[in-house]
Amino acid sequence: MAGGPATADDRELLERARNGDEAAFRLLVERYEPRVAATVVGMLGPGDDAEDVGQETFIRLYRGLDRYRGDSSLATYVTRIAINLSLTALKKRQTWRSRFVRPADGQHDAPEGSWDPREDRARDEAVLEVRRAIARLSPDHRAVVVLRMIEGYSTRETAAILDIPEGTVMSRLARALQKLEREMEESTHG
Amino acid sequence: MDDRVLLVRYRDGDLTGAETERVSRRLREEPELRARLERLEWLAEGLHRSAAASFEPFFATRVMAALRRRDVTPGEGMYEALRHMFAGVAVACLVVAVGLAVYSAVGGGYGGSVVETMLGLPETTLETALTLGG
Repeated sequence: MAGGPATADDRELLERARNGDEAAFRLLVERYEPRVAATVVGMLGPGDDAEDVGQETFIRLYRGLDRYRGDSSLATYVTRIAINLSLTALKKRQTWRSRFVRPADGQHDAPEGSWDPREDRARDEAVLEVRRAIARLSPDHRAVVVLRMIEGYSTRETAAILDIPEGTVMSRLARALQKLEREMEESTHG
Repeated sequence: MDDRVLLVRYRDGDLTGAETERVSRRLREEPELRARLERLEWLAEGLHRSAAASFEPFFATRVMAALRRRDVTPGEGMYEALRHMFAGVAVACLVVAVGLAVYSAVGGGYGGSVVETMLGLPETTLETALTLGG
């Protein structure tokens, strides 16, 4: 879907941004905000953590403008930054919980702490159920579900973004879907 | 290949012609696989609907403000950051080296350093060090 090289329009904006044109970089932020939001909120749930990681994603992009050569799409490049920062944030969150919170049975990342209801604009209960189910997946499984099922990257693109073999994407996806199915059915049938 | 993954790839049109035909035939013949595809459609729809389309309003403004606050320059990657950091260290080292060289060159005339006096060491200048043993 987004695996090709950078578009001409992106290239022009990148070149202008490299030369210090803030307006050009702002346009790139606005253009890629939906993709970064889908990745980061999918990984961390809505809230302050997601906002911070979203901002940091674009700051890293800005800092690394000279390193981006344009042979992969900018969407893929930005998503890679966002997913890596999200995984780091999840690790920090888990480390904090392991030190200060008594571990819940088998939960990798308790969904209750994943988002602030005041900031959650998705009032639809079904959406909240899906997010809760995603939050119960391990970070590795969550990353595959977010990229492959929510963002619609192909298996090959997902493997490239996460730097893992395609076979690993498949096996993680199978296990993640099995768990999601079970979680969703349990919540639907009480 | 796991049936769930097979069905994901089937939905995405990610299979070869022969594989697609095989799955289509199985779907006609196996009610359980059909039910699994329906569950997958339902799950995929839920996942799709759960995707956030944006952050809170004025996100881009906050990003630009953060860039200005942190004084980030475009293309300032790790290499550049390290180069800036170590440029200062290099200048400091150069100043210390020049200072030591000057001190050593003229130090003999001032009766040695405080450290040499405290430790009772003989006066050593660059000249005496170079001629040591010669």
